[in-house]
Amino acid sequence: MVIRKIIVQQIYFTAIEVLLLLGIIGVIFGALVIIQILAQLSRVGISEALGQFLVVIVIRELGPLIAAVIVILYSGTAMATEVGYMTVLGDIRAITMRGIDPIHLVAVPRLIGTTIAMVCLLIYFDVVALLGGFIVSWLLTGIPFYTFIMGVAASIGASDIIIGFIKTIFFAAIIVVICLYRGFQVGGEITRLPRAISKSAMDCFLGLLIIDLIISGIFYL
Amino acid sequence: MMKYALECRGIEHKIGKTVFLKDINFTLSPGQNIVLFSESDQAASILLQICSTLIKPTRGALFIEGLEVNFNDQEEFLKFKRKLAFVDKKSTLIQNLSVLENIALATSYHENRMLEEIQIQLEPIIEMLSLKKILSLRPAEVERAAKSRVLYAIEALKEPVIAIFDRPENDFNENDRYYLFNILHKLNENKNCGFIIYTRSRSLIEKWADEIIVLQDGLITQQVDKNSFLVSKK
Repeated sequence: MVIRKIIVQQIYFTAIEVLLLLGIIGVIFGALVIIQILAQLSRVGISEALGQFLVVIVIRELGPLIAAVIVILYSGTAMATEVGYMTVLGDIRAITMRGIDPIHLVAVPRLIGTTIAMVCLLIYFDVVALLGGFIVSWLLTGIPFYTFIMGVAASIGASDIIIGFIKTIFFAAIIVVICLYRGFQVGGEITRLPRAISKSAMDCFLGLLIIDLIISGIFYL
Repeated sequence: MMKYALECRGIEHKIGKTVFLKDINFTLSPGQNIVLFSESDQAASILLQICSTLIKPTRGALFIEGLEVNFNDQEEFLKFKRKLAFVDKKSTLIQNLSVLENIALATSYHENRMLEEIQIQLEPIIEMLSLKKILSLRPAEVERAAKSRVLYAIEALKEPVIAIFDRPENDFNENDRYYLFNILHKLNENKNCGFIIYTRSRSLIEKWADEIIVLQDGLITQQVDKNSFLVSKK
Protein backbone atom coordinates (compact mmCIF):
# COMPACT_ATOMS: atom_id res chain seq x y z
CA MET A 1 0.00 0.00 0.00
CA VAL A 2 2.63 2.51 1.08
CA ILE A 3 5.15 1.33 -1.51
CA ARG A 4 2.63 1.89 -4.30
CA LYS A 5 1.84 5.34 -2.92
CA ILE A 6 5.53 6.29 -2.84
CA ILE A 7 6.01 5.07 -6.44
CA VAL A 8 3.06 7.18 -7.62
CA GLN A 9 4.31 10.21 -5.65
CA GLN A 10 7.78 9.77 -7.13
CA ILE A 11 6.45 9.56 -10.69
CA TYR A 12 4.29 12.63 -10.10
CA PHE A 13 7.13 14.60 -8.57
CA THR A 14 9.78 13.53 -11.09
CA ALA A 15 7.73 13.59 -14.28
CA ILE A 16 4.47 15.51 -14.04
CA GLU A 17 5.74 18.52 -12.09
CA VAL A 18 8.62 19.15 -14.53
CA LEU A 19 6.62 18.72 -17.74
CA LEU A 20 6.24 22.43 -18.47
CA LEU A 21 9.83 23.27 -17.62
CA LEU A 22 11.22 20.34 -19.57
CA GLY A 23 8.92 21.18 -22.49
CA ILE A 24 10.28 24.73 -22.69
CA ILE A 25 13.86 23.50 -22.35
CA GLY A 26 13.25 20.86 -25.05
CA VAL A 27 11.81 23.34 -27.55
CA ILE A 28 14.64 25.83 -26.93
CA PHE A 29 17.24 23.08 -27.11
CA GLY A 30 15.89 21.70 -30.39
CA ALA A 31 15.77 25.23 -31.79
CA LEU A 32 19.36 25.96 -30.73
CA VAL A 33 20.64 22.77 -32.29
CA ILE A 34 18.91 23.59 -35.58
CA ILE A 35 20.26 27.17 -35.57
CA GLN A 36 23.79 25.86 -35.16
CA ILE A 37 23.31 23.16 -37.78
CA LEU A 38 21.83 25.62 -40.25
CA ALA A 39 24.70 28.02 -39.73
CA GLN A 40 27.10 25.27 -40.77
CA LEU A 41 25.00 23.46 -43.40
CA SER A 42 23.89 26.52 -45.35
CA ARG A 43 27.50 26.88 -46.41
CA VAL A 44 27.51 23.45 -48.01
CA GLY A 45 23.85 23.47 -49.02
CA ILE A 46 22.50 20.24 -47.56
CA SER A 47 19.74 21.57 -45.33
CA GLU A 48 17.66 18.44 -46.13
CA ALA A 49 19.83 16.63 -43.61
CA LEU A 50 18.48 18.72 -40.73
CA GLY A 51 16.39 15.90 -39.31
CA GLN A 52 19.34 13.51 -39.43
CA PHE A 53 21.53 15.84 -37.41
CA LEU A 54 18.77 16.47 -34.93
CA VAL A 55 18.34 12.73 -34.40
CA VAL A 56 22.06 12.22 -33.87
CA ILE A 57 22.43 15.10 -31.45
CA VAL A 58 19.13 15.05 -29.57
CA ILE A 59 17.83 11.48 -29.60
CA ARG A 60 21.11 9.61 -29.50
CA GLU A 61 23.18 11.78 -27.23
CA LEU A 62 21.92 14.88 -25.52
CA GLY A 63 18.21 14.07 -25.01
CA PRO A 64 18.74 11.43 -22.32
CA LEU A 65 21.51 13.51 -20.76
CA ILE A 66 19.52 16.74 -20.53
CA ALA A 67 16.41 14.96 -19.24
CA ALA A 68 18.61 13.30 -16.60
CA VAL A 69 20.22 16.62 -15.60
CA ILE A 70 16.76 18.15 -15.12
CA VAL A 71 15.81 15.16 -12.95
CA ILE A 72 18.98 15.59 -10.86
CA LEU A 73 18.30 19.28 -10.32
CA TYR A 74 14.61 18.92 -9.61
CA SER A 75 14.07 15.47 -8.16
CA GLY A 76 17.47 13.99 -7.23
CA THR A 77 18.47 16.77 -4.87
CA ALA A 78 14.96 16.72 -3.39
CA MET A 79 15.33 12.97 -2.82
CA ALA A 80 18.68 13.45 -1.04
CA THR A 81 17.12 16.21 1.09
CA GLU A 82 14.05 14.14 1.94
CA VAL A 83 16.06 11.07 2.98
CA GLY A 84 18.53 13.29 4.86
CA TYR A 85 15.63 14.78 6.80
CA MET A 86 14.21 11.29 7.38
CA THR A 87 17.43 10.30 9.13
CA VAL A 88 17.49 13.58 11.11
CA LEU A 89 13.84 13.40 12.18
CA GLY A 90 14.04 9.71 13.13
CA ASP A 91 11.82 8.37 10.32
CA ILE A 92 14.44 5.80 9.30
CA ARG A 93 14.71 4.63 12.91
CA ALA A 94 10.90 4.42 13.08
CA ILE A 95 10.83 2.32 9.90
CA THR A 96 13.52 -0.03 11.24
CA MET A 97 11.69 -0.38 14.57
CA ARG A 98 8.67 -1.69 12.66
CA GLY A 99 10.88 -4.49 11.36
CA ILE A 100 10.94 -2.98 7.88
CA ASP A 101 14.11 -2.70 5.83
CA PRO A 102 14.47 1.03 5.00
CA ILE A 103 16.12 0.13 1.70
CA HIS A 104 12.98 -1.73 0.68
CA LEU A 105 10.56 0.94 1.82
CA VAL A 106 12.52 4.08 0.94
CA ALA A 107 14.84 3.15 -1.92
CA VAL A 108 13.02 0.58 -4.04
CA PRO A 109 9.83 2.61 -4.71
CA ARG A 110 11.91 5.69 -5.51
CA LEU A 111 14.03 3.68 -7.94
CA ILE A 112 10.95 2.26 -9.68
CA GLY A 113 9.17 5.63 -9.73
CA THR A 114 12.18 7.56 -10.99
CA THR A 115 12.92 5.01 -13.73
CA ILE A 116 9.33 5.07 -15.04
CA ALA A 117 9.26 8.87 -14.83
CA MET A 118 12.58 9.29 -16.63
CA VAL A 119 11.62 6.98 -19.51
CA CYS A 120 8.43 9.04 -19.98
CA LEU A 121 10.40 12.29 -19.72
CA LEU A 122 12.88 11.10 -22.33
CA ILE A 123 10.12 10.39 -24.86
CA TYR A 124 8.51 13.75 -24.07
CA PHE A 125 11.81 15.63 -24.30
CA ASP A 126 12.72 14.05 -27.66
CA VAL A 127 9.31 14.93 -29.10
CA VAL A 128 9.36 18.57 -27.97
CA ALA A 129 12.99 19.02 -29.03
CA LEU A 130 12.13 17.73 -32.50
CA LEU A 131 9.14 20.07 -32.51
CA GLY A 132 11.32 23.03 -31.52
CA GLY A 133 13.80 22.03 -34.20
CA PHE A 134 11.07 21.85 -36.82
CA ILE A 135 9.62 25.27 -35.89
CA VAL A 136 12.99 26.96 -36.30
CA SER A 137 13.78 25.01 -39.48
CA TRP A 138 10.43 25.99 -40.95
CA LEU A 139 10.85 29.65 -39.98
CA LEU A 140 14.36 29.89 -41.41
CA THR A 141 14.23 27.57 -44.43
CA GLY A 142 10.52 26.99 -45.06
CA ILE A 143 11.06 23.22 -44.94
CA PRO A 144 7.66 21.43 -44.98
CA PHE A 145 6.72 19.33 -41.96
CA TYR A 146 6.49 16.20 -44.11
CA THR A 147 10.05 16.61 -45.45
CA PHE A 148 11.40 17.33 -41.99
CA ILE A 149 9.70 14.37 -40.37
CA MET A 150 10.73 12.06 -43.24
CA GLY A 151 14.33 13.16 -42.65
CA VAL A 152 13.96 12.32 -38.98
CA ALA A 153 12.28 8.98 -39.71
CA ALA A 154 14.96 8.01 -42.23
CA SER A 155 17.73 8.71 -39.74
CA ILE A 156 16.25 7.16 -36.66
CA GLY A 157 16.66 3.45 -36.07
CA ALA A 158 15.12 1.18 -33.43
CA SER A 159 18.59 0.92 -31.91
CA ASP A 160 18.67 4.71 -31.28
CA ILE A 161 15.46 4.48 -29.29
CA ILE A 162 16.53 1.35 -27.41
CA ILE A 163 19.93 2.86 -26.56
CA GLY A 164 18.16 6.01 -25.33
CA PHE A 165 16.03 3.86 -23.02
CA ILE A 166 19.04 1.85 -21.83
CA LYS A 167 20.90 5.07 -21.01
CA THR A 168 17.85 6.44 -19.20
CA ILE A 169 17.42 3.33 -17.07
CA PHE A 170 21.08 3.45 -16.03
CA PHE A 171 20.82 7.20 -15.42
CA ALA A 172 17.78 6.68 -13.19
CA ALA A 173 19.59 3.98 -11.23
CA ILE A 174 22.71 6.08 -10.71
CA ILE A 175 20.69 9.17 -9.69
CA VAL A 176 18.60 7.25 -7.14
CA VAL A 177 21.54 5.30 -5.72
CA ILE A 178 23.77 8.37 -5.32
CA CYS A 179 21.05 10.66 -3.95
CA LEU A 180 19.79 8.08 -1.45
CA TYR A 181 23.32 7.17 -0.40
CA ARG A 182 24.12 10.83 0.25
CA GLY A 183 20.80 11.25 2.06
CA PHE A 184 21.36 8.23 4.32
CA GLN A 185 24.89 9.48 5.02
CA VAL A 186 23.45 12.52 6.80
CA GLY A 187 22.92 10.05 9.65
CA GLY A 188 20.95 12.30 11.96
CA GLU A 189 23.25 15.34 11.81
CA ILE A 190 21.40 18.20 10.18
CA THR A 191 24.60 20.18 9.54
CA ARG A 192 25.64 17.47 7.05
CA LEU A 193 22.52 18.00 4.97
CA PRO A 194 23.55 20.96 2.73
CA ARG A 195 26.83 19.26 1.85
CA ALA A 196 25.02 16.00 1.11
CA ILE A 197 22.70 17.78 -1.31
CA SER A 198 25.45 19.55 -3.25
CA LYS A 199 27.60 16.41 -3.30
CA SER A 200 24.69 14.32 -4.56
CA ALA A 201 24.18 16.72 -7.50
CA MET A 202 27.85 16.78 -8.45
CA ASP A 203 28.31 13.00 -8.06
CA CYS A 204 25.20 12.33 -10.13
CA PHE A 205 26.42 14.58 -12.94
CA LEU A 206 29.78 12.85 -13.01
CA GLY A 207 28.05 9.46 -12.90
CA LEU A 208 25.84 10.41 -15.85
CA LEU A 209 28.79 11.43 -17.99
CA ILE A 210 30.69 8.23 -17.21
CA ILE A 211 27.67 6.02 -17.98
CA ASP A 212 26.93 8.01 -21.13
CA LEU A 213 30.52 7.63 -22.28
CA ILE A 214 30.51 3.88 -21.64
CA ILE A 215 27.15 3.20 -23.34
CA SER A 216 27.88 5.46 -26.32
CA GLY A 217 31.31 3.87 -26.63
CA ILE A 218 29.84 0.35 -26.59
CA PHE A 219 27.04 1.00 -29.08
CA TYR A 220 28.39 3.64 -31.45
CA LEU A 221 32.09 2.92 -31.81
CA MET B 1 15.47 -25.37 30.10
CA MET B 2 13.39 -22.21 30.42
CA LYS B 3 13.57 -19.86 27.45
CA TYR B 4 13.88 -16.25 28.59
CA ALA B 5 12.12 -13.52 26.64
CA LEU B 6 15.33 -11.52 26.89
CA GLU B 7 18.74 -12.07 28.36
CA CYS B 8 21.65 -9.65 28.71
CA ARG B 9 24.94 -11.44 29.17
CA GLY B 10 28.02 -9.41 30.13
CA ILE B 11 26.83 -6.27 28.35
CA GLU B 12 29.29 -3.40 28.34
CA HIS B 13 29.00 -0.12 26.49
CA LYS B 14 31.44 2.71 25.94
CA ILE B 15 31.11 5.90 23.96
CA GLY B 16 34.59 7.25 23.38
CA LYS B 17 36.33 6.76 26.68
CA THR B 18 33.19 7.06 28.78
CA VAL B 19 31.90 3.76 30.11
CA PHE B 20 28.11 3.79 30.45
CA LEU B 21 27.44 0.12 31.19
CA LYS B 22 29.65 -2.46 32.89
CA ASP B 23 29.01 -6.18 32.94
CA ILE B 24 25.22 -6.05 32.81
CA ASN B 25 23.62 -9.43 33.38
CA PHE B 26 19.91 -9.97 33.79
CA THR B 27 17.06 -11.99 32.37
CA LEU B 28 13.46 -11.18 31.57
CA SER B 29 11.05 -14.09 31.74
CA PRO B 30 7.91 -14.24 29.62
CA GLY B 31 5.20 -12.20 31.35
CA GLN B 32 7.61 -10.63 33.85
CA ASN B 33 7.51 -6.87 34.54
CA ILE B 34 10.90 -5.35 35.28
CA VAL B 35 11.30 -1.72 36.21
CA LEU B 36 14.66 -0.11 35.71
CA PHE B 37 15.69 2.52 38.22
CA SER B 38 18.71 4.66 37.47
CA GLU B 39 20.13 8.01 38.48
CA SER B 40 21.64 8.40 35.04
CA ASP B 41 19.06 8.84 32.27
CA GLN B 42 21.74 8.24 29.67
CA ALA B 43 22.93 4.90 31.06
CA ALA B 44 19.35 3.65 31.38
CA SER B 45 18.49 4.89 27.94
CA ILE B 46 21.52 3.14 26.40
CA LEU B 47 20.64 -0.12 28.15
CA LEU B 48 17.08 0.06 26.81
CA GLN B 49 18.33 0.81 23.30
CA ILE B 50 20.65 -2.19 23.49
CA CYS B 51 17.77 -4.38 24.71
CA SER B 52 15.66 -3.13 21.82
CA THR B 53 18.50 -3.96 19.37
CA LEU B 54 18.94 -0.32 18.33
CA ILE B 55 22.51 -0.09 19.62
CA LYS B 56 25.15 -2.77 19.37
CA PRO B 57 26.89 -3.14 22.74
CA THR B 58 30.66 -2.71 22.87
CA ARG B 59 30.91 -6.10 24.53
CA GLY B 60 28.55 -8.87 25.60
CA ALA B 61 25.63 -10.68 24.07
CA LEU B 62 21.90 -10.13 23.85
CA PHE B 63 19.49 -13.05 23.55
CA ILE B 64 15.86 -12.79 22.53
CA GLU B 65 13.76 -15.91 23.10
CA GLY B 66 16.98 -17.88 23.52
CA LEU B 67 18.56 -16.76 20.25
CA GLU B 68 21.60 -14.50 20.21
CA VAL B 69 20.99 -11.27 18.32
CA ASN B 70 23.38 -10.93 15.42
CA PHE B 71 23.60 -7.18 14.90
CA ASN B 72 25.27 -7.70 11.50
CA ASP B 73 22.59 -9.87 9.92
CA GLN B 74 20.05 -7.34 8.68
CA GLU B 75 17.28 -9.82 7.90
CA GLU B 76 17.45 -11.65 11.22
CA PHE B 77 17.86 -8.34 12.98
CA LEU B 78 14.64 -6.97 11.47
CA LYS B 79 12.80 -10.15 12.54
CA PHE B 80 13.81 -9.46 16.16
CA LYS B 81 12.48 -5.93 15.88
CA ARG B 82 9.04 -7.26 15.00
CA LYS B 83 8.93 -9.00 18.38
CA LEU B 84 9.77 -5.82 20.28
CA ALA B 85 7.64 -2.89 21.33
CA PHE B 86 9.81 0.10 22.07
CA VAL B 87 9.09 3.73 22.82
CA ASP B 88 11.64 6.26 24.00
CA LYS B 89 12.04 10.03 23.75
CA LYS B 90 13.52 9.72 20.25
CA SER B 91 10.62 7.64 18.93
CA THR B 92 8.75 9.39 16.19
CA LEU B 93 6.12 8.97 13.53
CA ILE B 94 6.96 8.87 9.84
CA GLN B 95 6.39 12.44 8.74
CA ASN B 96 5.06 11.96 5.23
CA LEU B 97 2.46 9.39 6.21
CA SER B 98 -0.90 10.11 7.85
CA VAL B 99 -1.58 8.89 11.39
CA LEU B 100 -3.64 5.99 10.03
CA GLU B 101 -0.90 5.03 7.56
CA ASN B 102 1.63 5.18 10.39
CA ILE B 103 -0.49 2.84 12.50
CA ALA B 104 -1.19 0.46 9.62
CA LEU B 105 2.26 0.48 8.01
CA ALA B 106 3.82 -2.55 9.69
CA THR B 107 0.72 -4.75 9.31
CA SER B 108 0.19 -3.65 5.73
CA TYR B 109 3.84 -4.19 4.84
CA HIS B 110 4.42 -7.54 6.53
CA GLU B 111 1.06 -9.05 5.60
CA ASN B 112 0.91 -7.37 2.18
CA ARG B 113 -2.63 -6.09 2.76
CA MET B 114 -4.44 -2.95 1.69
CA LEU B 115 -5.26 -0.23 4.19
CA GLU B 116 -9.02 -0.77 3.81
CA GLU B 117 -8.64 -4.44 4.75
CA ILE B 118 -6.69 -3.67 7.92
CA GLN B 119 -8.82 -0.80 9.16
CA ILE B 120 -11.36 -3.05 10.92
CA GLN B 121 -8.54 -4.86 12.70
CA LEU B 122 -7.20 -1.50 13.93
CA GLU B 123 -10.49 -0.17 15.25
CA PRO B 124 -10.27 -1.47 18.85
CA ILE B 125 -6.89 0.18 19.46
CA ILE B 126 -7.98 3.38 17.68
CA GLU B 127 -11.05 3.46 19.92
CA MET B 128 -9.05 2.67 23.08
CA LEU B 129 -6.63 5.54 22.51
CA SER B 130 -9.18 8.05 21.14
CA LEU B 131 -7.39 8.42 17.81
CA LYS B 132 -10.40 8.49 15.49
CA LYS B 133 -10.40 12.27 14.95
CA ILE B 134 -6.75 12.50 13.99
CA LEU B 135 -6.43 9.51 11.67
CA SER B 136 -6.24 11.55 8.48
CA LEU B 137 -3.81 14.13 9.87
CA ARG B 138 -0.08 14.28 9.27
CA PRO B 139 2.19 13.95 12.35
CA ALA B 140 3.10 17.65 12.12
CA GLU B 141 -0.58 18.54 12.59
CA VAL B 142 -1.00 16.41 15.72
CA GLU B 143 -0.33 17.63 19.26
CA ARG B 144 2.38 15.95 21.32
CA ALA B 145 0.11 14.00 23.67
CA ALA B 146 -1.85 12.50 20.77
CA LYS B 147 1.40 11.69 18.97
CA SER B 148 2.50 9.66 22.00
CA ARG B 149 -0.76 7.72 21.93
CA VAL B 150 -0.18 6.92 18.24
CA LEU B 151 3.34 5.70 19.01
CA TYR B 152 2.04 3.36 21.71
CA ALA B 153 -0.77 2.15 19.42
CA ILE B 154 1.80 1.20 16.77
CA GLU B 155 3.82 -0.78 19.29
CA ALA B 156 0.78 -2.49 20.82
CA LEU B 157 -0.29 -3.75 17.38
CA LYS B 158 2.94 -5.69 17.03
CA GLU B 159 1.74 -8.16 19.67
CA PRO B 160 5.30 -8.21 20.99
CA VAL B 161 7.05 -10.67 23.26
CA ILE B 162 9.02 -7.84 24.89
CA ALA B 163 7.83 -4.30 25.57
CA ILE B 164 10.45 -1.68 26.45
CA PHE B 165 9.47 1.83 27.47
CA ASP B 166 11.75 4.73 28.43
CA ARG B 167 10.12 7.08 30.98
CA PRO B 168 6.57 6.50 29.69
CA GLU B 169 5.22 8.86 32.35
CA ASN B 170 6.70 11.73 30.30
CA ASP B 171 4.66 10.74 27.25
CA PHE B 172 1.33 11.11 29.02
CA ASN B 173 0.21 14.02 31.15
CA GLU B 174 -1.72 13.40 34.40
CA ASN B 175 -5.10 13.42 32.63
CA ASP B 176 -3.95 11.02 29.95
CA ARG B 177 -2.13 8.59 32.24
CA TYR B 178 -5.00 6.09 32.04
CA TYR B 179 -4.20 5.63 28.33
CA LEU B 180 -0.78 4.32 29.34
CA PHE B 181 -2.32 1.75 31.67
CA ASN B 182 -4.82 0.78 28.95
CA ILE B 183 -1.91 0.10 26.63
CA LEU B 184 0.04 -1.82 29.25
CA HIS B 185 -3.03 -3.98 29.94
CA LYS B 186 -3.59 -4.47 26.23
CA LEU B 187 0.01 -5.67 25.83
CA ASN B 188 -0.45 -7.83 28.93
CA GLU B 189 -3.34 -9.67 27.26
CA ASN B 190 -0.56 -11.65 25.69
CA LYS B 191 0.53 -13.40 28.87
CA ASN B 192 3.97 -14.02 27.42
CA CYS B 193 4.87 -10.36 26.93
CA GLY B 194 7.66 -9.27 29.27
CA PHE B 195 8.14 -5.60 30.16
CA ILE B 196 11.22 -3.51 30.84
CA ILE B 197 10.22 -0.02 31.88
CA TYR B 198 12.57 2.74 32.91
CA THR B 199 10.58 5.05 35.14
CA ARG B 200 10.73 7.31 38.15
CA SER B 201 7.00 7.24 38.63
CA ARG B 202 6.12 5.70 41.97
CA SER B 203 2.57 4.95 40.85
CA LEU B 204 3.84 3.08 37.81
CA ILE B 205 6.22 1.07 39.96
CA GLU B 206 3.44 0.30 42.45
CA LYS B 207 1.00 -0.74 39.78
CA TRP B 208 3.26 -2.50 37.35
CA ALA B 209 6.60 -3.77 38.65
CA ASP B 210 7.40 -7.35 39.64
CA GLU B 211 11.09 -6.72 40.02
CA ILE B 212 13.27 -3.60 40.21
CA ILE B 213 16.75 -3.38 38.73
CA VAL B 214 18.80 -0.53 40.15
CA LEU B 215 21.50 0.79 37.86
CA GLN B 216 24.26 2.86 39.44
CA ASP B 217 27.53 3.98 37.86
CA GLY B 218 26.88 1.65 34.96
CA LEU B 219 26.49 -1.42 37.17
CA ILE B 220 23.47 -3.31 38.42
CA THR B 221 23.72 -2.70 42.15
CA GLN B 222 20.39 -4.15 43.25
CA GLN B 223 17.82 -6.54 41.86
CA VAL B 224 14.92 -6.62 44.28
CA ASP B 225 11.17 -7.20 44.40
CA LYS B 226 8.79 -4.27 44.30
CA ASN B 227 7.91 -4.20 48.00
CA SER B 228 11.50 -4.19 49.26
CA PHE B 229 12.31 -1.39 46.82
CA LEU B 230 9.33 0.77 47.79
CA VAL B 231 10.09 0.33 51.48
CA SER B 232 13.70 1.39 50.90
CA LYS B 233 12.57 4.50 48.97
CA LYS B 234 10.03 5.70 51.54
